Amino acid sequence: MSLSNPYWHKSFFAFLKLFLSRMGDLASGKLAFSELAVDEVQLFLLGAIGVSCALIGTFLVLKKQTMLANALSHTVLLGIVIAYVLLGLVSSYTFASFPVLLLAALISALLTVFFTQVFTHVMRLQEDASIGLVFSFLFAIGIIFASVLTKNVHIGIEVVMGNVDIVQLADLRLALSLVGFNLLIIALFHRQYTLTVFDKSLARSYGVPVKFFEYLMMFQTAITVIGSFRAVGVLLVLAFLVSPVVIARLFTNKVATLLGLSCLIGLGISVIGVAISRHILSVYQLPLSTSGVVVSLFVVVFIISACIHLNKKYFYQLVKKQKTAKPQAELSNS
Amino acid sequence: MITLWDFFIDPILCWPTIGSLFMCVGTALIGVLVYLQKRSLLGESLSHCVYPGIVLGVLAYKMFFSKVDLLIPVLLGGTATASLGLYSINFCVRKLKMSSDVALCFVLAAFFGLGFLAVSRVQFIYPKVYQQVQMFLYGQAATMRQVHALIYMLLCLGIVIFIILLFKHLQMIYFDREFAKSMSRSSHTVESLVFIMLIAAIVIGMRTVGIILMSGMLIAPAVSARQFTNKLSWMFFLAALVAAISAFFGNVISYHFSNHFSASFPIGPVIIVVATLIAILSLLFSPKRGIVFRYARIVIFKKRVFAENVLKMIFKYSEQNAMPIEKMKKMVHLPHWIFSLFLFHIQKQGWIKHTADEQIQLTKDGKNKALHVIRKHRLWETYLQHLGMQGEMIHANAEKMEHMITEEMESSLEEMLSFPKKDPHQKPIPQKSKYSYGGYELE
Repeated sequence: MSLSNPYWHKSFFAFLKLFLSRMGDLASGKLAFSELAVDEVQLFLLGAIGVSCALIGTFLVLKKQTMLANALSHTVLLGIVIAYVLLGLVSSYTFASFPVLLLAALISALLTVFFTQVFTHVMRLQEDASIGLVFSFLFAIGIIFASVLTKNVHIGIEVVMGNVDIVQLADLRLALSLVGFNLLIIALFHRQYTLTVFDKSLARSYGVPVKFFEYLMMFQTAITVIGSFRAVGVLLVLAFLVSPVVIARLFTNKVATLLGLSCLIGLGISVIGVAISRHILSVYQLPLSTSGVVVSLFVVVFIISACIHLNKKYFYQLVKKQKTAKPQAELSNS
Repeated sequence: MITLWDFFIDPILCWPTIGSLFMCVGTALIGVLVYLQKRSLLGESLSHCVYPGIVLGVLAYKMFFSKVDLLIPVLLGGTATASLGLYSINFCVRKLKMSSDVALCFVLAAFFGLGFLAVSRVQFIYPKVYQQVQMFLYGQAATMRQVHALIYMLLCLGIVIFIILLFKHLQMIYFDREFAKSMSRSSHTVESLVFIMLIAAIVIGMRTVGIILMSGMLIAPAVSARQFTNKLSWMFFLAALVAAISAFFGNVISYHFSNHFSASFPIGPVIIVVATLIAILSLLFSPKRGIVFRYARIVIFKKRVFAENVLKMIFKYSEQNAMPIEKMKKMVHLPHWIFSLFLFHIQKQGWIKHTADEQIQLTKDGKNKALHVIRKHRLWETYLQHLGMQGEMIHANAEKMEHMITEEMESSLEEMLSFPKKDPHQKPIPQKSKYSYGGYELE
């Protein structure tokens, strides 16, 4: 990583312009991958997170299981702590090491889904009550473990809040491999996923192992959350999972379009968010959290899209009223 | 050594203990209502909506006063943003046709993100305040003082008074929906009042268990209370009791463990762990709904049915009411050792005895038992015929019912059918014996 940051004191458009020209350099080989500036790493990282979260988020939203994803994003903490203890890595503080992540994802996904199923089906609790009970219990245990092991609560805070401003190239590699993983799984199984989401019994009659794909979806969510929490924290990952899809959902009813559109929105808003955050820092001297800016941008875009969506509806209603009103008037005249 | 009582009188320990006690009780009471409305995760969403309120409240407070006190920003700012969050959730569901699950999650993440943006500003200008704000994520019970405890006590009292005043209405809404629907306007008002109280409860509980664990405090006591009662008043009482117990022991455990292991055991998470453990124990062991007793009842019933069927089988096998063990083992679909154990069990009941030539013979009691089952079977068949049913259906249904008919049903069936002697298949129905009390005989 180069020490002198070329993006220093750049405003919004200058940032984008310089970024594009530097990307040209990167493509033509003038700029080595390891020479990327901090802002570029951030930008790629958030973009990658945006894309992988949008990919899996689409199916979560369609399946109406985002609150389970919320539970998962909390229990990830316990998964991470257990994985660290199991692998004896408490001392060496490397979040990005792959086996730890994989193990943590597996543990937390399995624990959460399994316990929720037990509470709902065996103990006959309401589903959302069991989700709430399970994740708050596992998260509480996770925090206690974490604060006992590290002798302070701040590891917990770091997990929850994340910090995109301390990321390294290793994080970027991880995020990019996550995008690859998610793309691969969705490309391979999007038909089965769609069937599982919309019509379980139809899926079964086609011979799709529904349970397997439900668990796979949860595992994919867990690993995406874990891969992203260092940059954005477990709670903001939720925003990345849900907001692009919710925005895209206002404009389309087709699964394929929804998938593509939400990926585009996730990527686009992440990039613009980084540029805006840099702009605010350069022009107004206000250092703000980059991921916070991105999520706030999601909110702003959502509000605008909701306004458009609602007004479009009003417009359609007006047109319909005029069309249906006319023949009636003719009838009454004749 | 510090005793349990010391947690109420020690000048350092007492205010966190008393404060968290009141907070947990207040939160749990509202949790009962939310749980009965089946909207448990609403609390999770709204508690995250409080976060930007706290941060903005602190920023605004800092403009007017030099000293930072978190109480007022939390109460006012938190209430404001939580109400906004509630409104946004309803808007997304009603106007944008989002499913409620997605709306909850989206609003949660969006508000938390906005709070996150604001807190990065606080971190830069008031680093010390930032530390305090962050502690709200997991609660900060240990630093509570007398003022806080008193204020939270008043708020908790407010919730209790609210519940007492509106008790009749609440009971009507949650337990008599049809009647409540006919009075939809007033029930609507009460329901929105409950949401306002939910926000109040969240803001109150915030300081003890923190934003992230809030939903646990709302749900766990309600779940435990529901296991033991069907009455709303008892549910409130039990939930409050569970909350108080978990708050108190949360403090005790946190204090002792922190000293013993010389590491910090944060109070809020410990309280949640205690409360959830109570909930899990009541899900397992509550007498009526608990899963252990439910399965135990099923197992006992199945065993009785099996025993009755085996006695019947031996009775029908031969004139002497005896049957070779090997033959029986082939008839029943059970592992041999379980079957032997079962035979030992009914032998102890005095229904069978082993004979010298490897046979099982019914005792007098066993024969009576078998006859009683057959009597109930044939009575039921007669009844079904009386209803106008015919064929194989009759027998299959009676095979099940013979194990369920009670003494009272049996005698009123007999009376209704005017004491029949033969069943539809022209087989004799065993009658009550004239010679021995409680015995049966075939005529």
